Order: sequence, then structure tokens, then C-alpha cells
Amino acid sequence: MEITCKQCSATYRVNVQLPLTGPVRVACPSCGKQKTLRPVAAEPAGAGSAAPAPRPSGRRRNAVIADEPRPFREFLVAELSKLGFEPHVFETGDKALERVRETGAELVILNVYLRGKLGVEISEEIKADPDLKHSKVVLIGALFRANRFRANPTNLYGADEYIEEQIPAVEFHRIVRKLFPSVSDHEEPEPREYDEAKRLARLILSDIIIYNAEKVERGIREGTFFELLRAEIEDGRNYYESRVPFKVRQRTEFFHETLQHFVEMKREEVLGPRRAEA
Amino acid sequence: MTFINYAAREINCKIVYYGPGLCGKTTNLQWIYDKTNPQAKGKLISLATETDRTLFFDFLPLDLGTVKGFKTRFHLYTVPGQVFYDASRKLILKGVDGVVFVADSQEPRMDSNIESLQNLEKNLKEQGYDLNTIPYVLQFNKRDLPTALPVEDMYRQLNYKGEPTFEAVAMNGTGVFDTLKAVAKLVLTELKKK
Repeated sequence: MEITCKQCSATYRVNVQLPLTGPVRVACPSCGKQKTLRPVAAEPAGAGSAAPAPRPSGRRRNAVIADEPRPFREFLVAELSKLGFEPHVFETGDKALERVRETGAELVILNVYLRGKLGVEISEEIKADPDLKHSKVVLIGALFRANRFRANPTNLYGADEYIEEQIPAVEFHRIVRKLFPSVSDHEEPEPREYDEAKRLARLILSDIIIYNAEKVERGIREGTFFELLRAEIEDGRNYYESRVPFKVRQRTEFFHETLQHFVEMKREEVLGPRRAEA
Repeated sequence: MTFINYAAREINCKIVYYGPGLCGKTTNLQWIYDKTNPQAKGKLISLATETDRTLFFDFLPLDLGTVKGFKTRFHLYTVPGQVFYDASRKLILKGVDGVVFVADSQEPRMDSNIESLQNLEKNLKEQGYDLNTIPYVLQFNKRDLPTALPVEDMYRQLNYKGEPTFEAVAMNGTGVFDTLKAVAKLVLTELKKK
């Protein structure tokens, strides 16, 4: 199990048997901050009856898209595939609902107006069905002279989210991740993106060092680097996360590694190899 | 964008000093301020913290003689150099007439120089400018430091379009006015074309 320390931002692994049967205390190897891991409380009987079974890792989530054939539908299919979904496409509402019931699709994207059953009707039916409690519904709104008449919808007919045709891919990903926080980006980053992330991590560290020379020196000597520079490291991490694509951050820890490497190197330089190891 | 006040017969130009954190942008402005005739300058406004971080910008109005009967007034600005403050840098670039890129000669800051230059190019583009056409001067600052890279290496990595390049030690004023004169000349030449 991997834990990120709230005090020094270090990420470390702990060897515990899951699910936990009782509280376990762990300490950060970097700054010593202790944390108690507690077992997740069991849900009251009946409350979780509609929750889906845990998803085996590697299996793609089922998604149903009900929309007319158009480039936007292709866009949804492509973007959902990148996010690890297996999209199934339908033109009519009835067929889409049938598929949702068959597969218990985790994500259902519905055009408001569909042939047969309307998207809004399907949304209400899904939300009223206890067996489909886990299905998240997103409505696609119809636009009429988008730049002249524009109002946020006040009734989503039970749906969890609402999108429009011009939605940029980044915004669409954000909405899907909001509904499925554990969703991963299946697109493999390019080598260039890894290099850029590494370089940015080095640049941020270089700025932190040059603007805080005294604190850095003291932090290295006293072993309090992460504590003394907590605010600067936090600013740096936020900036790093705003610039580096999710798919790269998901697979790497360049920012943390760059800091760790610098601290180790500097400790050895300042204290000598033996004392640095101690 | 140059602002011409016909009534007052005055031309106002904006020069931005750009570059990575702690490369000496504010030191350039401070030197210019200290060595300029009090009648020719306005107040130096500097928004900085006690650790020398320029939070938003420094601003120094400066009179540089007349062109065809018009008084020329240069407004010198710096940007915050730290990578985090990109939004401020974009704002300060609005309406720019000329740019001085101050590079830090220290070897460990070379990556930051390159990043900052790329950031300048990108931010100018976003504002509708092109680094290829805008009056632009490059300054290699901190030449007195023992860790300074050879000028040829720096030129190879930072030269953008064969722009005028100056070696400087802003702390003692070396190269500071040469840089300013060069960018002012380019801005005025550009102005005459229009």
C-alpha cells in the first residue's frame, strides 16, 4: 500500500494485509510523521446493495452512449477509450436502456433528445432503478444558437452531469474523473512528455534552492529540509501538477524523486557519506 | 504598443526585462535608477519581499531625449522570474515594445535560462507578438562569477535570431546601459518604420 506523507510529501510503501482488521500505526521514513490506518467501516445493511463488485484491475469499464451518428459521438468514443472505458454506441433510447440493464454500465451518456425514449426519460428510469444505483449518467444538451441564448440547465432529470457538444477533451476528462476518481488515462505518454516533466521538476527545485539558500542549508544540516520548506515545496508541487499531464504524473514521481535526490546528494556533500547515511 | 500623445508631444514605450529567477532584472533597473538624472526619471516602484522575490513587477519611467520633436519616455518593467508566476508575466507583457532577456551566466541556471526563454516566446505569441520581429536584446549577466559559463556556450544555447548581445555585471553596472541603449535604439527604429 502506498502512502503520501502530509508533512513532507514523501511517498512510501507499507506492507499491510488488506482489508485491515484493526488500526495500524505507520511512520514516514523521511520525516518520522506517524499516521494511523483504520479499517473502513462496514456500510449499514442494505445501503450498499446496489454497489458494483470490485473491478478487477485491467478490466475496462462499460460505457453506453446514446446519440445520433455524428463527429461528436466519435469524439466521445475516442476520449472514453483513452480513459479506460469500453464504449457501446446506440442511436435509440430503448436499445441503450436495454444495454445498460444487461451490462450494468457504469457510465451512460445520453443525448437529451433521442428517437424512441428521450434521454431525459432514460436518465430518470436509471436513477429510479435500485439495481443501477452505481451507473453515472451524463446528459448531452441540445444547443440553439449557442452564442445568443445560453443558460445553465436547472433540471438534470436525475443525471449526474451535463455536457454540450463543444466541450474540449480536457474538460470532458475532468468531468469523467469527477464521477470516477480512480479513472486512469490509458494513453501512454510520449518520451518527450517524461523528459519535460523531469526538466520541470529540476527547474522548480532550482528556483526553490536559489530563493531559499539559507533555509536549504539549515534544513540539510538539521535534517528538517521538508519541514522548513514545506510552503515552497507545496507551491512547487501545485505548479508541477498544473503543468504535467495526468497520464505522466500517474506513472511517475519525478517531483518527489528530484527533491529526494537533491537532499541525499546535499546531505552527503555537507555531512560526509557516513553521517548522511546515519 | 507604443503610445503617442500628440497633445503633449510625447512618445511612451514599454520595455520588459525578462529572465529566470534572481538573474538580475531588478538589479539592472536599480542601477539605471541610481545613475539617472533625477529630472529624467520617475519613481522606481518595486513590489518585492524581503527575500528579493519580485512579486509582480518593477516599474521605472525614464526620459531618453527627443525624436522629431517628440519627447521619448520609456517605461521599464521587470517580471517575476520564478517559474510559478506565469500569470503575472503574461500580464506584464501586454503592450510591450521591446524585450531584454537577462540570462544568468551560472552553469546550474542554464536550464532555467532556456525554460524562461521558451516561456517568453510562448507568452509573446499568446499576446499576438513574435520574438522574431519584436525589438529584442540578450544580456549575459553575472559574468564576474567563477561558475559563469563561457560566453560562446551561452550564445550557442540562448541566441534566438542574432540579436544584440551584451556581457554584464549588473551589480556594478557593467553592460547595463549598453543593454538599455541597444533595446531603446531598436524600439525607436521600429517606431520610425511605422
